[in-house]
Amino acid sequence: MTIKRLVLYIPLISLLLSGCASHSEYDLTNGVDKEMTLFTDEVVIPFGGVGPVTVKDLLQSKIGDLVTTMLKEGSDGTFGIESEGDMYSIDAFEVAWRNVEKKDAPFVMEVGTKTSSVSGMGTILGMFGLSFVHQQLMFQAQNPFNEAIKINTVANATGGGLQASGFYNHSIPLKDFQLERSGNTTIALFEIPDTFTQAISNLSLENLAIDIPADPGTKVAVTSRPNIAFTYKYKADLALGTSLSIPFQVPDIKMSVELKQYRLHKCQIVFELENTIPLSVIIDSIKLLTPSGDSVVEADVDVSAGFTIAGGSPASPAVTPITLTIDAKDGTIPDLAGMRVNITLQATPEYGTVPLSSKQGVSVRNSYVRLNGGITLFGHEEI
Amino acid sequence: MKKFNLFLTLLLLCLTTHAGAQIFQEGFFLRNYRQAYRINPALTNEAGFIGIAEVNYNTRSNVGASAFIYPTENGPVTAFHPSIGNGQFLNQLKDINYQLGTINANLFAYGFRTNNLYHTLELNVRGLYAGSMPRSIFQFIKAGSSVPNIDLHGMGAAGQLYAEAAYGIGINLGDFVSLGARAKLLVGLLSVEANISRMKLYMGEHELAADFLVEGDLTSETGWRKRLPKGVGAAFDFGVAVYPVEGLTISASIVDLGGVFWNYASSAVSEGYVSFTGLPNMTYDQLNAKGLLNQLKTWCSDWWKELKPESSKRGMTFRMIPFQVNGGIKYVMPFYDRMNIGAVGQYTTYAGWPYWEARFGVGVNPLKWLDLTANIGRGSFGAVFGVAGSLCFGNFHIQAGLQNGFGGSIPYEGTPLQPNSKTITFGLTYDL
Repeated sequence: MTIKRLVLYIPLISLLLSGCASHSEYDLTNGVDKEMTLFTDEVVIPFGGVGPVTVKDLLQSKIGDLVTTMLKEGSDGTFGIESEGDMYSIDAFEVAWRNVEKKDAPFVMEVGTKTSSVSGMGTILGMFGLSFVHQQLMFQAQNPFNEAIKINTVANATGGGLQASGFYNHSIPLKDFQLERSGNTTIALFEIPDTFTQAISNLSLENLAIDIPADPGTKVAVTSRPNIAFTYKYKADLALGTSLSIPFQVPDIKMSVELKQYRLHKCQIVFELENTIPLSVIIDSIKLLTPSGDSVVEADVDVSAGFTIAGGSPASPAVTPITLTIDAKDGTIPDLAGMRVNITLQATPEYGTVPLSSKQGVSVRNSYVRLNGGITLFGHEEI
Repeated sequence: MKKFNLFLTLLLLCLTTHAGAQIFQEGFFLRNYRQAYRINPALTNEAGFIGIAEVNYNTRSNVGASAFIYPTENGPVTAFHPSIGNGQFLNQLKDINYQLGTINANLFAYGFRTNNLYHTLELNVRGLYAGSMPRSIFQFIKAGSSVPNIDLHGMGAAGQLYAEAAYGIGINLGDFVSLGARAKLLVGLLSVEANISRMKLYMGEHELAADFLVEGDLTSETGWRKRLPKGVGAAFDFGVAVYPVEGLTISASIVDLGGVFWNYASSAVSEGYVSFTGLPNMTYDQLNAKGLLNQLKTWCSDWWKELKPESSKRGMTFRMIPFQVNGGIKYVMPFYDRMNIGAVGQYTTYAGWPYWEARFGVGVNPLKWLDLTANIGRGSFGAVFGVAGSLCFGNFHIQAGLQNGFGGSIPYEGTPLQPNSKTITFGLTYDL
């Protein structure tokens, strides 16, 4: 081989090397698998806080108008119940007509015993474990005559009997109690001690007797409602009792989240829950629901549970750090159709009987989501 | 091929669309190459010539396509495919992954000799474009935020286009040494720059924050000013060639030493610190899709107030063009004077990204009308080679050359699989 040929071959060989250096395994003409898994180690997404979500928010979302119609909110935000009703009522002219033969002389009208029941709402709420504080029961009487009259009766209030706070039975004798002329008079006021935390249920005016003046028809004051009337007014603040313990299953929370496509393996939701409601919530179990045909079934995913959200009070909020772990074990988190939660509501005795305020609530603080194992996009698609 | 998604398109764009200053080194070994004064202004011709056109296109990247595309049994996948490990991908990347390139289009060249002086005149249009991405961006996307502090600085893009009028002179000082110099007037046509000078991302459990400084400059004008040059500058080449013995040439030069004063009429700066600590004002009523969206809108609006670039008047700003230092040694075989062997080396840098090469080459002119050269060597990114040839038709000379690195490329597409510098040259001259 001559030098001429040798030097001629060098560039040609170089060109061939250059041309052959193409790698068929990198051939993109048939497309590239588009599947991508991002953040494979972990990614943390801070979410901050939400709230506070107050008791009022919760009640309004769950029981709607009940809050505005039956539960009364005081100026300080305290929730309470109020009710009033008639014990006995009779038209003054009817009295005059009935006793026309004795119209020239005063007489005593024997009414007998009148009873009534306070609205059943207190009893119902009591069955849910709610207590009542600052209870006040007031008997009132209306005198339609333009002169004072006397009554004799025993005002009686009773309640409870089933729970720890026992049975309340209290009477106020009203002998020769005088009603001022033509107006309302409070004839009995029951300030029920806070040691009794159940609602007052039964009322009575026993052996009610009313002194009717002579010639009553001419003594009736000019009024639109010339009745001799006995009424009651009852009000109480709601409170969370110290012996509350209600396990129940929250109705399935429905949601539709198509997570399967992202092939998530493990997700941690970390947050602090600040609670000013004197009520502990024990999360007994959390199950994720996944669609199965037309129905839903519990997904084969571990969700951490068995933790307790501590109860607190406005003066000393309870902060509970919570880590909710959703682990798909060897699989991936499927499409979600909802969540099934079993909880137990439990009183926090250390706070005693604390009035329930619309301003109490829960706040989520310092929350973040930690994803491990990556998020997959474009699975089984080609570019 | 099915439609590309945006992400992969950007990745491939990074690999294919940038270029850097690199001279046609093979010309040093070609006997019939008339524009060796570009390598070293001291390298002159015996006779005059006219350069009708020469185009030199160089691309350089310190990361190859094999970092982003992986072959599997089921076909190629991207670096973000779950079967590709974090280390497998990220270890192939550099701290700053750049692509840059230049294109030099010679519109006219003229060389002539007067006694022992050789004069050259040239008119060129030159362009430069560059882009960079830090590894930390890919690390964050691939691996996530297991480390809360992420430094994303180093992402940027730049482009410059300018015209060049050059006059060069070479002088032979006896038979032993020649000197040369070229002066270039640079007229700026367009310059655009966008840089993330500072971008520190903090992804903690309770805060997502970014501390950033983003700058953008553009030489745009309106009205009659549109027709004016956007910048003016100068650059110089200096060279020396020594001939210590018969047939031996030792060459050293520095070329493109200079830059352009650009008039950036449109500049914007975005600097600030933004933080996301959640949605603290979110109420129970807003705990729904609409409420969440409204909260996010508010948050984004606050962010945008911080992020919104504020226009600034940067005015005249000097930008260097990539300079290059060249060295070469060539020996014409005493037993066969149509063959020479030697070595060339170069060093260039731009934006803090240096690049060097050293090559052993051989040139041969076996036939009067055929001139060939080949070289092999090593550069910043590994082994390199080059081939070039020149054909003569009467007084016309056509030359073409390729400098490339080993490592292969994507079939039918040409993107290098490994970090690479590639230069393609094509030119035509006429001997006077």
